[in-house]
Amino acid sequence: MPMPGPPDLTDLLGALRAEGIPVGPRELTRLHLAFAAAPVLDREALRAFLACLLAKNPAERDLFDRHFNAWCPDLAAHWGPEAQPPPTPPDPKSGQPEPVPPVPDPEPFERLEPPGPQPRWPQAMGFLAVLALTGGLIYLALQPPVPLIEPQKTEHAVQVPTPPEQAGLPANPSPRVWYWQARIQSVAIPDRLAAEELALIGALAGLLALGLWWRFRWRHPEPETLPRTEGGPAWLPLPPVTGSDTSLMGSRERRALVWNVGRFAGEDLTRRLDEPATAAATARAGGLAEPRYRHARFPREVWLWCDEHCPDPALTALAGEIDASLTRSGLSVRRGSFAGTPTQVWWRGDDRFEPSRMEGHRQHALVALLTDGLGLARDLDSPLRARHTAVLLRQLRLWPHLALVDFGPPGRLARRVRPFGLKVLAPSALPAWLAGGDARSESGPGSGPAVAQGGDLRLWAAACCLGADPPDAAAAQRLRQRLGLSLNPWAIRDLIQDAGDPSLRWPEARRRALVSWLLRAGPLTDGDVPAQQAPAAQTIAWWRARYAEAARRQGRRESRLLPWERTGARRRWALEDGLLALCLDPEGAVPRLRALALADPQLRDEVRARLAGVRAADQPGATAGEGAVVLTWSLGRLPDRAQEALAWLGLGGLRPLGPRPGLPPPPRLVLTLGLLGGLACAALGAAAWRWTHAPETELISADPSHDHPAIEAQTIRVLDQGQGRVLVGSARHTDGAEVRRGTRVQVAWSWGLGEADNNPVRLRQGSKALVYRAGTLPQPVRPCVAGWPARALAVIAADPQAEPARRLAIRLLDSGTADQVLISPDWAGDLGDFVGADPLLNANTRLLVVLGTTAPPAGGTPALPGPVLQGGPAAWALVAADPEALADWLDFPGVRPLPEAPARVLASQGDLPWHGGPEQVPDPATGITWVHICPGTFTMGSDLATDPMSQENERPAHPVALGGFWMAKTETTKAQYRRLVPGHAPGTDGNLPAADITWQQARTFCDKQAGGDLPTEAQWEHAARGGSLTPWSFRLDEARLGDHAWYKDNSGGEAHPVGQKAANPLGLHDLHGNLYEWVLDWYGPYADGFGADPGGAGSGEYRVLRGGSFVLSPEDLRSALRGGVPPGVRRQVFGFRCVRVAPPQP
Amino acid sequence: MSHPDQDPPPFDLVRPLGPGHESSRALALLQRRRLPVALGDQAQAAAHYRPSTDLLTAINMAIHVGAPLLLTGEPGTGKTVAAAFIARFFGIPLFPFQVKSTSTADDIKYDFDAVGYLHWAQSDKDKDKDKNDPPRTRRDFLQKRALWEAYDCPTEAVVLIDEIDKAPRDFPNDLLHELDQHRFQHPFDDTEIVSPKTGHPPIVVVTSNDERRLPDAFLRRCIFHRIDLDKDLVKAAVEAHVRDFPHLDPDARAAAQRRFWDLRESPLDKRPSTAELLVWLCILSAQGVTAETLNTKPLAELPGIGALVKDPEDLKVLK
Repeated sequence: MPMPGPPDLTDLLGALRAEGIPVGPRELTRLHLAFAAAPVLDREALRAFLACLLAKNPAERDLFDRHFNAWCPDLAAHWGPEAQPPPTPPDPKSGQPEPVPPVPDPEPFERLEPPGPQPRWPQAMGFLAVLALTGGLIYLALQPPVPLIEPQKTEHAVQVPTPPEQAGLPANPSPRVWYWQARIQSVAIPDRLAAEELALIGALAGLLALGLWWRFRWRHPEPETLPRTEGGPAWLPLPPVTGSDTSLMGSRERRALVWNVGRFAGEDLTRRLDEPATAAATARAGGLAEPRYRHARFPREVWLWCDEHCPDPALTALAGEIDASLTRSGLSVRRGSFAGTPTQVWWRGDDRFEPSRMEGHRQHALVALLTDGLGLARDLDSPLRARHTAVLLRQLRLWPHLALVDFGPPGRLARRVRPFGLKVLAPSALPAWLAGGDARSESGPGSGPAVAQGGDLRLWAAACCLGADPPDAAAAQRLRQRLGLSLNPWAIRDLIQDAGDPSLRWPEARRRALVSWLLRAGPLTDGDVPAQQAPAAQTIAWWRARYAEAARRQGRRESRLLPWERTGARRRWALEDGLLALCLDPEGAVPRLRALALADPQLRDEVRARLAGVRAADQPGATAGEGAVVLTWSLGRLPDRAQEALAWLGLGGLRPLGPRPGLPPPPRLVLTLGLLGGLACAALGAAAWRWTHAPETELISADPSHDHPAIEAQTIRVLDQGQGRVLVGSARHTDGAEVRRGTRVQVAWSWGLGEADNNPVRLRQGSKALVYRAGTLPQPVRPCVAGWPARALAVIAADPQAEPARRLAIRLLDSGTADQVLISPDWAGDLGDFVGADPLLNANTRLLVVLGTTAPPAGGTPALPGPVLQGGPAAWALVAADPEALADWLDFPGVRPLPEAPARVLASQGDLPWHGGPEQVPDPATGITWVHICPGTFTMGSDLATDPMSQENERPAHPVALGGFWMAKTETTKAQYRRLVPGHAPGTDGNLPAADITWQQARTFCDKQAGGDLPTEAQWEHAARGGSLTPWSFRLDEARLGDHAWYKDNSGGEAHPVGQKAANPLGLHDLHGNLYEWVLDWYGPYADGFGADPGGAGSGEYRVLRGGSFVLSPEDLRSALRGGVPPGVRRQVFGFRCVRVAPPQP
Repeated sequence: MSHPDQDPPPFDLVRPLGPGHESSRALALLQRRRLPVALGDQAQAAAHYRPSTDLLTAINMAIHVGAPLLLTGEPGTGKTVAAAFIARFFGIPLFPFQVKSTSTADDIKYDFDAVGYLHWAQSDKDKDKDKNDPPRTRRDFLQKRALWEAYDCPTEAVVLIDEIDKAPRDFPNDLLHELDQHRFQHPFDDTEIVSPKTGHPPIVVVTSNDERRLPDAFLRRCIFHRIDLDKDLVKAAVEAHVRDFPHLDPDARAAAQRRFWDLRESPLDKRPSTAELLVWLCILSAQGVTAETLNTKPLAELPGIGALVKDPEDLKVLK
């Protein structure tokens, strides 16, 4: 029989149509219209909805209701009677003392135990994790300065044999060199974490929180929640509208079309009956588990006479079954009935028949009287009818094939009719008797109906009353088979007798006792639940399967509008199932029961009511006789969660704890989760903020005064935000670090680190190669020509001891063409170490390689070693030259292109000019030649350690940084001065320095005529020293003073024309000697410490005069010497020169 | 006795004639009596009307599918008020048509004053016809009735066809076309079709007292709802009119309803309906009857039983 699908609306409409209720296109159209409005319908609303449209009068409404009920069964209603057990009938056997099964003495269960000592390690782990997180946070926040790159110091002092100094180019470098050094003190993100770290912390905290929560939920799973039961959906599959309606017809035609009821009457439903199935079901219902029939051997009629007074439904069922079965086999069966005593038998169809008058047909009929014998016994006991009945029974004995089938208590009928020699059969023996087998008549009080509630029968009874609803007889028989009880099917009558109720509903107290006994009737597992093979387990399995099957069957009947899964009835089935499962698997069943109770308050009350009568083995009241079902397991052995839930569900009268079950998360977990969650949120938020608002990397000088533009101009401060690289330092030494975006890099700047570095040094330990970092000038002034690289390197391929090479190196360094010079015979091998691999630096580096004249011709060999040039210097050249010639040539102001040198350019890349000295720009308008003094730092003043001639007012010697300026190449000449003051010293040589001029006059000239000002004292001394540290700007050789200055010994007591003596390293003349020179500053003591572009004393009486004059001795010509004169004083030895910030524009 | 005129009149307005009887005083008392407002007035009753869920479903269905709503049920179950309720709910006019045993389908549409027309036509030939009379046509003697009025109504409208079961058999059948198509031909102008001005058919409510079976074709066009009289309905009706029984406390009202249902379960030919219950409650209130009286007296001796049981045979049965 194919299973019908869920009923469609079409089915209902079809059924109504068949009943004559008009359902045509009009109604369908209206349904479409109405459903288009999407009404919200539950079952009752749907019924009203359809009814008002389809049923047109009360009669139709009745029809409609009937079909609607069939179509959309009220699934919830099926539960009602079963959920509420009827009032318990008094136990008929209450007089007999019931052997109470011994229930094991339970351990007293006082209360829900507090959760036992839990393992401490999870908390410890959590604590440690939080600690680690916090610690990491603090560590990262207070990150100590990380010097990412150790500053490489290549301080390998080397003793260079000093060759005798001779005229011409020097061969001995200054043993010391000063330059700006940078040391990266700390690389830190100030007071905060980087976005990545924050994100990591946030993620870790979040993960930890999730993990803790997951662990909590894993150990204490949240009960699943079921959706609440709801009304049906507003959607309904409607059949399409087909055909036309009659609405446009005339009224006459319409009347003719009034719906005809009869036309739509369907075929008889009963003809569709599945007869074999029905018969089999009937037999089962009658108690015949496996009815088997054979054809009777004689083609006789079978007469079945049924006792109408017998209340046993099995009688009719058996009769019907036999009837159907035999009829199917082609036998003729006649059924009759009699009232108690078969004095008269009514055949079907009201024919009456008196067995006593029957003469002829006895032989041909197999007659079975189905009776419980009560009527017979009563008649036999009745003084009025005893005789007559006895006669009847004796007559019946004459019937050759007649038997009484006993539906009463076993043995009673047999005892009564034994004197009459009648055959008495048990119902189970009837088929065999009919089939002609040797019918064993039941003899005597035999197989034990009276077997008082023990053994299998008791098991059967207990199994039957385990379910919530009493099983019908058929179900009881199946249960008996399932349990494999060695019982006669007819023992069911004993069950009925025991229950005192034909529907096998035991009194509640008895039922509980039976169930408690059943649960202990077999072996128990370790968990104190009935084992798999125990009858209790099997019974429960059977009941659960039955519920599942029932639910499945109900589900198949569900209407699409009200899905079975969402009905309350379905939940009740689940509840029954859960209660059964509770006996076997409390841990599994409790969450389900709780979920059900949570989903529906009604169910919750029901669960509580049911569980109130159930005790765990260790609960008070779990002793026998208190009328509770005592389970086998102990509450104390369940997990906390289950105990909690069971208490909430009111097991054994436990008091419900609250509106909802469940362990709330422990406070410390909540606290931890809150902390971690907050931390995660804050960290992630901050990370996101950092990402979107990433700060720039910052370079900060430890001493803010080092951020002076004058110093910035002399130093390398490169910040590559993209690659995260910082490069600080100067041409002779750099420090670099890999930094992250937003880093604050603190740099300590120092001028020579407070002490001079050695010069020259070895390239590396044990190497022959020498690196010169300064020539004769220990505080060299770097060129500041536009586009001059940050670092200019030179390599001389020669023996470091070779004098020409050294001379060339010193010349290269002093002229500014190179900042460092490597002299190495194996220059190619040393180049890598010399240049370094810092791409940032190399991008701003120029490299000049001077090979000896023995170098191969141009184009003959590869120039520079490839690896060095890969990402190496931005510009490089390879020249072959005679060092001496080149050194001699390299003396000119400004720069000259590479090919102009007396050298062969073997290979080159990029622009690499020669720098011979500071740039000089003549100004025809004033006649002044301006020399570009580049930014530099020098030690101003002197001290006794380096200069025994040091005066008190020159001390302390202190470093001073100066920005670039332009200074007149010579003292202002008279010719120049006359352009402003035409009458100045008439008749004298115009090339003589202008003298006899007050400070104010000098200043006015510089302002008006030269467009500048007097130099400050620092500017003057910077220009005068030109990088030297010696008392005079040339080497410490007083004997050579005459080459450079007019002084007492060579001046002859008069001033001399300017520019006749040799220039100082910057190309300036007459700074030493000839005339004093006015400078801008007030005369005052030096301020100690570092200064940048210092302006001298704030006030004073005297203005400073510098440089000495032609009347003074050598010690008074020193660069450091200073003197103060009132500004209004004029002397013949007072001259001046001017400075400008920018060269004059032609 | 300070303001005798303001006191409610005594219940026994009519007494045996005796000495000192003055018609004028009795008339004054009669004029001062206060009748319950809601009982007679549909509009007032609609304000208190409590439709059941099923009825609302049917009303909504009728509105959605544009079909007439057929309400049946015992008298006094609030069928007519339901139409007033719909009108009140939407704030639209209600056009009632009371069906009589002589009603024809045309009566619901218009009324033609044939006699007046005939008279006019005759007088037209008279010489003494007033010249000032405007010229009249047949149409001037045409009076529009509920359905037509509803069609002409500028807003939505409710048409109530009350007690359709009273009408001759053909009445509902002749209405089929109009209720289906909602248009009909003008009686005097073959070219004019009368149809709703709004374009929507009016909401049609048809009530019937179950006295006769309606033709199937008519039924099929309707949305059907039967208003069953049940305790909730009665209780709701009583509570809605509770202002009309000022002297009845809740216990007395409950007792009265209990007795009412006792009566309805008695084998009476004519069982009392809600409307009669309300009238009875008014009487009880006027008499100031208590719950105890109602509970203890046998059915036949209940005060004011005449408001409920109106058939002498039924009274006999009760006794």
